[in-house]
Amino acid sequence: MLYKKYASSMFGICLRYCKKRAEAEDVLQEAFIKIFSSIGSYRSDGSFEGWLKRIVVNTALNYYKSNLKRCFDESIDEMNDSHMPTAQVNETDLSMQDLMRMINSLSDGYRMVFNLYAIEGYSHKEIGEMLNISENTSKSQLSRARVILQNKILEFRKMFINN
Amino acid sequence: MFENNNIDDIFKKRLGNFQEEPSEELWLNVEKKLWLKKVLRISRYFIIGACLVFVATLTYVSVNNKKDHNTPLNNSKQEEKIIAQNNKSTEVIKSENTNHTTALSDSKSTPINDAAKKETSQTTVTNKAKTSPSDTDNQFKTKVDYSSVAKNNKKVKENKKLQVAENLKKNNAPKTNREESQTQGSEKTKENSSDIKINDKEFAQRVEKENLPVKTETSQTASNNVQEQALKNAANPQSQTEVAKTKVEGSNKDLSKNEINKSDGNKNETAKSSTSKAPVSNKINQTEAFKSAYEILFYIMPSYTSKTLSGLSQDEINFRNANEKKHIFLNYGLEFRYRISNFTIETGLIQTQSGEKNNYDYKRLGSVDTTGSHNDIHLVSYIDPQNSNNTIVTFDSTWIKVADSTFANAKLSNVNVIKYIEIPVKIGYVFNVNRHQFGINGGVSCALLSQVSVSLYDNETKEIRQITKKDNMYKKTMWSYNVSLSYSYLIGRKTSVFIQSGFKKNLNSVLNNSSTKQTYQFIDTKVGIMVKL
Repeated sequence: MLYKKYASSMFGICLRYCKKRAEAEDVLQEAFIKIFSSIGSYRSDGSFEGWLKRIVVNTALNYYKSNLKRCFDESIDEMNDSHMPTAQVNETDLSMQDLMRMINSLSDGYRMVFNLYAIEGYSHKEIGEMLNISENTSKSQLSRARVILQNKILEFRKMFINN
Repeated sequence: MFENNNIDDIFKKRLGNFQEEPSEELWLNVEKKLWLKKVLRISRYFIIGACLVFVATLTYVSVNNKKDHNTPLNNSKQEEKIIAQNNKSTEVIKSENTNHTTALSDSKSTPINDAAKKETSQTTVTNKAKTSPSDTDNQFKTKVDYSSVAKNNKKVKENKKLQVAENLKKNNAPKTNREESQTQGSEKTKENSSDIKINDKEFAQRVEKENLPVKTETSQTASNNVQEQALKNAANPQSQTEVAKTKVEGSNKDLSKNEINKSDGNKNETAKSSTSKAPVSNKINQTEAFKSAYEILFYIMPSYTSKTLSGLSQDEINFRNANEKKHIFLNYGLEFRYRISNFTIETGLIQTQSGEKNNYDYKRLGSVDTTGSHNDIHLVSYIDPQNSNNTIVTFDSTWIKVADSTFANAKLSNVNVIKYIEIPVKIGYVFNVNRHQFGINGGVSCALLSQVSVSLYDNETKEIRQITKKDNMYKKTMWSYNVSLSYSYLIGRKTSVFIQSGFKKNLNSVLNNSSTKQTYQFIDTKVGIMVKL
């Protein structure tokens, strides 16, 4: 069954793009409705999983774009300490959960751009077109996201050492 | 410590294939939504189909009604029916008139019709004798006696025919003056009757043509009376001449006087009714113009648009309300209206717009400088458990790149426009006061998104985002309810001007897949022309 086979991997993508689990479930639900509605339009040019992934990512971006609340959200405190790592490992052995928490603590714009550029591998030009922003904005968002993540890893390391 | 690429790599390697099981309810929700979508897709086609069938039926019914009203006398079968129905009333008068003539012509009896006249005079006597004070009895008896009178008339006609046949046989036989005058008179009356028939038919047709399609009972009876009178005259011209005769000759006879008065009364009544019907029909024309079964409305519609936000904090709502103002849009449309008695059903196509006027004063991201960097040195201490728990103190240096952003003040003033093609379905009630018509209606409408031209301030990127229809941010189908009051004034036979003030409110949010709910409400005024079809 299509859903059973791909639900967990697609949910992983949703979790990267969304701040909360409930939002990720909404996005996954919407994405699967789109998938089942337009499965006839799939051409076997690329991999089926790639096609599914593109739909999930686009749904997540649309969710982000359409959510005006987020547009007017105050900047999230990037030094939020509520997501402190629990694993006792050095910086190279950060767990997936810790990394996921770090990504989720980023504000929407940073998180989207970082996910698209660093993990999905889109260029700044493509990201600009996808999010209706300029290339420079995409670059600055990525740069700031990296700085924030870097600080978070350092914080994590400090805490780990102090403990 | 961490290069940019390293950070990217760490996240890519670890999270690139990150998997987690979603909750079990999710699949049930997906199934439910897919089913709903399927039902909605089917119901959409059903609604459109039902609307088309409804409009087609209304058109068919209204066109047929129009035909029925326009061709009552052209249809020979209908004409015969009308004549057959009207004969009853006309022949009652005929019988009375015939009675007068037979009564009057007793003194100057002709040898040919003696037998028949005797019989008719007998019936006249019986009529008079049986005439009771009560009108009802009178009417009843007259109706009962009608058959015998009609028989007598038939006999008289047959005798006349026989006489004419005899005369033809005789050929050269000299005619008496009286006979000549009689035959001439009968021929003339025949000619006259045929002329009258034609004239009255024409008149009836003219009346029918000039009058608007009649629906109400009063107007129908009015037109029926006109037709009836015309047909009476056409069917019974002899009675008029005979009654005229009695006016001259019957002045000395009391009985015939009464009869003449009666018949005069009848004539006067019919004359009165025919004369009094003219203004009535004019009045009907004025009001009937509003009673067309099918009407089309063209209008422009200034619409004062405001929005309601929910799902946001009060501060955010205040911020947006302060920067996004209410706006007046100019819409236009056409509607079809079908009227059944005082009730109306309307549908149509309207181009509607919603949106707001933006006045943002914001800081714009000018440029980003990513060349800056510095060496970040930290003093780090930790306990070395392997070496008798001694504290180790070291320096940790990190080369950190810094991105500096430059912001500039900017202002934005534009109008956000979301355009729809709207299909309303409304029911209403209207009533007429002479040329004025007042009404109330209400219903629901389905609007299909046609264009989006929106600019919104993004607090994160500090930039204005341009949103179009492609962004899929706005719902493609919007549902609304509306109520309105209308007034129209008849300016021509088929045309009236109208003004309609209404209130409309969205039933669903304009935003797609968003926790923020944004609905618009409209106060609009339609001004336009209503034309009867």
